[in-house]
Amino acid sequence: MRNRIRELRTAAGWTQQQLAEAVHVSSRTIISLEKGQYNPSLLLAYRMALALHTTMEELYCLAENKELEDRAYEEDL
Amino acid sequence: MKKIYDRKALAWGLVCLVLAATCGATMAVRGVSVKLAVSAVLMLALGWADLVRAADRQMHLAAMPDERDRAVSRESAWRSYQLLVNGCLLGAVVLMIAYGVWRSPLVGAAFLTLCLVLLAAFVILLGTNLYYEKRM
Repeated sequence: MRNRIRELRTAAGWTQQQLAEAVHVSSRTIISLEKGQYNPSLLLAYRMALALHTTMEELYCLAENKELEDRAYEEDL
Repeated sequence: MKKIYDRKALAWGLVCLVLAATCGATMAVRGVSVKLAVSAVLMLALGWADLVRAADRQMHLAAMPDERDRAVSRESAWRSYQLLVNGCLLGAVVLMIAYGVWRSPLVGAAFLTLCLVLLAAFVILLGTNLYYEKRM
């Protein structure tokens, strides 16, 4: 799933390690999340949104991702 | 009183200390032996290390897997299961053909063993699936 973690983290001037410590995960998890290799739990997404002073919707581009998924679903039908 | 962070380590620590005490008691009754003395020292050391680990917050935090670690271990366990089952299935087909050609009892036994492994894997998968169907 597309996300804006890297963009918002760098805008806040944080390193991956700092964000990882703020949300109680390893920096490897942050790297993986930024690459979109893995989707976080609701709680982790919420923690990151709070840490980066944004909303989960903004952080995970939910409207855009929903639209993409809806389109893929429509094409599958 | 120190807080216990890892109950499993506490249990192992206590088991090791009980074993060390048993070694000590046996030596008291039967006389000193090198084997028992070494075992007692080893058990005491292991027990002490486990007890320290049980009460150490930093070690507990470092050992706690985060959600990506859990996802990785879930995914790798599932992939390993699939690899094992597909490998067994492939082996069973090859052995079945080999048995049809050579009629060797050894090949037949190997084929049956692989079938039993596949059956056990299927039953275990069914059991765990039913368990999680009710709990998720």
